[in-house]
Amino acid sequence: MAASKTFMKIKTNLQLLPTVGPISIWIFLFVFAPVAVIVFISFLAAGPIGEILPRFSIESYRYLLFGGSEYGRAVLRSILYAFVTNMVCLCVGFPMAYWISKYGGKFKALFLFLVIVPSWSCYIVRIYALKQLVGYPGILNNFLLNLGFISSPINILYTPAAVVLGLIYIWLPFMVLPIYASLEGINPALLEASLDLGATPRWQFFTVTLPLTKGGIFGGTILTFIPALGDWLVPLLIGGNRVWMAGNLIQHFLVVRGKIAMASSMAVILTAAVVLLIYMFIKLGGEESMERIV
Amino acid sequence: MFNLRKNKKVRFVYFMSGLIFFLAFAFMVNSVLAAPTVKTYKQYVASIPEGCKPVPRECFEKAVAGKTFAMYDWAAWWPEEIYKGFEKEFGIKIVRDNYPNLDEALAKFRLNPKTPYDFWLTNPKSLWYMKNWKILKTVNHDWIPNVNRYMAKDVQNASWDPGYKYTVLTSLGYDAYVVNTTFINRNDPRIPSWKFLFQGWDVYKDKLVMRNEMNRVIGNTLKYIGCSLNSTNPKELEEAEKVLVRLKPHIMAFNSWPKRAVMAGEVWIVEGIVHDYLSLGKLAGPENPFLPAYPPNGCLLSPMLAVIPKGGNNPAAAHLFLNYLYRPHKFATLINAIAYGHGHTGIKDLTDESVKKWMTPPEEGYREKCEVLLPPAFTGEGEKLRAGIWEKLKK
Repeated sequence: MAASKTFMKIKTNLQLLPTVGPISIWIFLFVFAPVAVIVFISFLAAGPIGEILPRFSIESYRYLLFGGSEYGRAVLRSILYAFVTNMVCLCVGFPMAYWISKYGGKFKALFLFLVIVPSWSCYIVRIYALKQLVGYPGILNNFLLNLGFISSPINILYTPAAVVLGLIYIWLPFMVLPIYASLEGINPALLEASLDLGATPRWQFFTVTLPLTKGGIFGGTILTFIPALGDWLVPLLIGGNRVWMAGNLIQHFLVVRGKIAMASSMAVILTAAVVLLIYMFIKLGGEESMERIV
Repeated sequence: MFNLRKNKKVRFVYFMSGLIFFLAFAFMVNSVLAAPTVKTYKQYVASIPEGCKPVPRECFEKAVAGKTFAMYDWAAWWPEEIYKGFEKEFGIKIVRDNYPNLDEALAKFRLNPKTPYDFWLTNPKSLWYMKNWKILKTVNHDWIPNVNRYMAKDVQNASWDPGYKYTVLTSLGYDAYVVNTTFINRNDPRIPSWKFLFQGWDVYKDKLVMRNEMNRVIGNTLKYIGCSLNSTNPKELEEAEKVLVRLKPHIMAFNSWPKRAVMAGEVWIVEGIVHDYLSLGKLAGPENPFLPAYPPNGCLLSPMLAVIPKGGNNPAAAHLFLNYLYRPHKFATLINAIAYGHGHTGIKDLTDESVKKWMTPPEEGYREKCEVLLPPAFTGEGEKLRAGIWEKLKK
């Protein structure tokens, strides 16, 4: 009996192989293998002229964790910027998704298309578009000048606020979509039942709608918080490279200083932080959050 | 009679015949257009312009047999006609790869020392690393007679390549600053000294952009406080750090390529290689608003050096290309386009007047006051101290 069960299990797994096999190979080659290489390099020693030596060493980790407060500060700053980005995306993205879902009517597809369409263009193009919008003498400055609200162009670019604005602009669609999917998945009978039982619209929102979209919120959080945490191009181009995030530090170690092991160690620390955060999000948001991402 | 519209088979045959005919015709046209001007060494020698010399037969034949030539250089800098002219003349296809900055290019070699490039345009810092990793070929001087003839003696055995073994100088840039005279009075008494860049924020109203390059920015700051830009003295570097920390609130951004912002009037003063702004000035109108400032006590000198990595497959083509580039008319085409300083002795009469004004410092012997980045600045303790300053500056 047990042998038969094992046989059936193997048979089922073999049947799944043609569908799961290619994607597993893909994930192994392009996700796990590169991460393994980075982890491996992070534990190697560096020679006097920057070359990697085939010798085990934890020097890079020691340097990063105890070498100076600047590195920890850059990581904390990244977490703060990513958190603010995430919160603003949530505050803006939820009403957007809610409005499209509830009042979009036959134009729902069009509104969703408008949300998605900016993300079809290249990342750098979007950053430059934002620069044209808020830069000097950008569209926003010209508009405010013409209305007489300001007497000279205001400096929006190259500030920490501009970095957060850039991150919000880039990642907002990735918050709207999972929340929209969650909202669309709510059974209307549940909402009607809550009204029948005497709930006010506000009470209905907080006790029925919001808990049922938890998966979408956590899914959106994963999709916006994690890429924002590792971003380096927005601080470089919109922040004028005046303040670093963790990604800029990795680029600094790898490119400017040629410390490959140290850049790898920093990447490993950041990846570990991200994995921990994903674990927490899944624990809090349930498996539905992962489903929303997928 | 069959109906062409209805008979699918016949339509298909006609379509395929037309396609094959078109492809064959295109191939023939391409073969005629792409055919090299010189096919044999004899033809090559006969076609050499006056005042120039050919490479030896061995170099020519090896280069042509290689068919392709892998080049690693800046994007959109040198004029395209240099590359196209070489391809057309010798029938060697140039396969170009570009880098956004030299540190990134060096990182590529650091990760794979056998990266297969035949020619790399680089700077003294990368040269030093490449030499120490032993991944550079020595230049065969017998294969570059035009370089031997026209390259000035004072740049042949320079500090960046003692013994003149690995490099051929292609251009020399002065890394100082440029002001936009539309917004800044060109008669300000502090211009062109470093004092204006480091203390003139009352005039430039925080519209300053510094290069996003640690060694260059710290080097020029050291120059401002009167030290060598290769200093490793902790006290001098500490002083430089104080100057930069004081300046930071007035720095709009760290950006190595702020040309868009400069053109838009977003930036009024920019620290960088002064020559890069002539082309922008030309675009701005008949009156060039950009003024290059050469600080009297000198600045960072940035030589662009051609080197031949060991990983390449056609080093002979690299020699052939260098010899071709050093023909006076070709080199003048290059300098008239990029407006950089150089060490070519044969193009004085071929250079545009506006370019001469930009590429030449106002004072005779200015180059001697300038310094090139040398290993003490970017290795060991010097590098560590500079990285510390840079990291603090970005907090």
